[in-house]
Amino acid sequence: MKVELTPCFILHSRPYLESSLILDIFSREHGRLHLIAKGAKREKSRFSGLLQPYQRLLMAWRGKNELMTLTDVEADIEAYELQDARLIAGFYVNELLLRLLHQHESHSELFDLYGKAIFDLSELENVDTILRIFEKGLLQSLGYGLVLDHEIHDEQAIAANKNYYYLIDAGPVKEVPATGDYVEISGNSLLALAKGILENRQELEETKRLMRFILQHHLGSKPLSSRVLYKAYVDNMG
Amino acid sequence: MIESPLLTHLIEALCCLPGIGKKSAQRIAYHLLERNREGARNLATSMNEAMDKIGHCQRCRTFSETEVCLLCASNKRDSSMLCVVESPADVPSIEQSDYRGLYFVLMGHLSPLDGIGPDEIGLRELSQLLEKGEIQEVILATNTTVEGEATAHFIGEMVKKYDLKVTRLAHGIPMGGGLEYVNSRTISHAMAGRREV
Repeated sequence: MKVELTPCFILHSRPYLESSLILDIFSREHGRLHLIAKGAKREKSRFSGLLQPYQRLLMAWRGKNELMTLTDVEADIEAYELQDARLIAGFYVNELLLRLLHQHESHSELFDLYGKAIFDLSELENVDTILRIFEKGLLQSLGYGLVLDHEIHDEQAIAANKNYYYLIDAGPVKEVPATGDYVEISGNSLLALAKGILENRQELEETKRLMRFILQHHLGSKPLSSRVLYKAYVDNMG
Repeated sequence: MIESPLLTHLIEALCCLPGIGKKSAQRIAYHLLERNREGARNLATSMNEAMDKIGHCQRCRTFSETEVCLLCASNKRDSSMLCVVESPADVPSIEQSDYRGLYFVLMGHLSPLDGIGPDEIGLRELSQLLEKGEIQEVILATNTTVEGEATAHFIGEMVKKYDLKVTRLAHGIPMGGGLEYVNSRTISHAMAGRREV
């Protein structure tokens, strides 16, 4: 198989043999896949300096097996410069994709959403909102979309002034569920998340708790390393 | 061809060297046996000795056969400055500049996706070093990769707690380099870091 230059992001790379890298990439057309970048660690490699996460790239590759060979790479648009704690937020977004996205499944809408999240992380202030919007879209793309606009039993629209119980794999209900895992959340926060505009502390905290609860369900028991690092970062700042 | 077991073993052992595959290993083995047995014995002894005796400096974590490496122990260095680098190979690079302070070698960088966190890169030891109060300036000389930047930021925040000066190595156009060959990211950095002349 031979693929011409196509939009990609590098999610992660690790050294392979002495001078090469194995790249875990997210391609707009071809989904997640592994590429080997031969000689990329050499001082004079034509790839050097470009093979970094958070840079939208055009990549070409060829090969038959699981592991294909990178043949060409160009910068697509100006690099996004993630700074400070946003670098850790970026690791988090990448880790979510690495953990939840299967290989060779095309998700072009998720690719665009990812590109927007990375751009927003480089430009905007409200990191929490950026992450929640990305998480919401990620779940949607994976087929686990959230119900945020109506109660799932009586199908009535969510009321801002009421409290709900979000049942995992189902949606918000009015009464405390007798069975199943759930998290409590205000109607106001559900609607704010639906709109993608989180304004006050309650909305930010509740939607974070909701997302963490649902993602945990899909991620399994192994903790996210980027979250562990973020916690160390916050503790470290004292 | 049937080779002697010792020779086969030697060739296999040589393959552990970086850049050496089976063919080169064979060439080296024959060369040493034919022409330089003395040199090979020397190599074997010094490898043995190095592998047994070289550990890490207790202060800066670089390779050292003494508890504290020669550089850390030297009284000719400016002990108020600390340059933080990722690998022991970065030390000789920085030494080419006129820097004459001390070092701290992380032996890696933060990389959560590979399970490398603050403890793995010795940040606890670094804290202890800063607590001693001798250091006035910390120079962050980690690589200009995403992981290197994250590491620099993490350490930067940590150092600020001690109320010390923190600086980051400048990044930009390499000396003697033509602008047309410099990638866009480097140019953006060079532009952002421009200074008045």
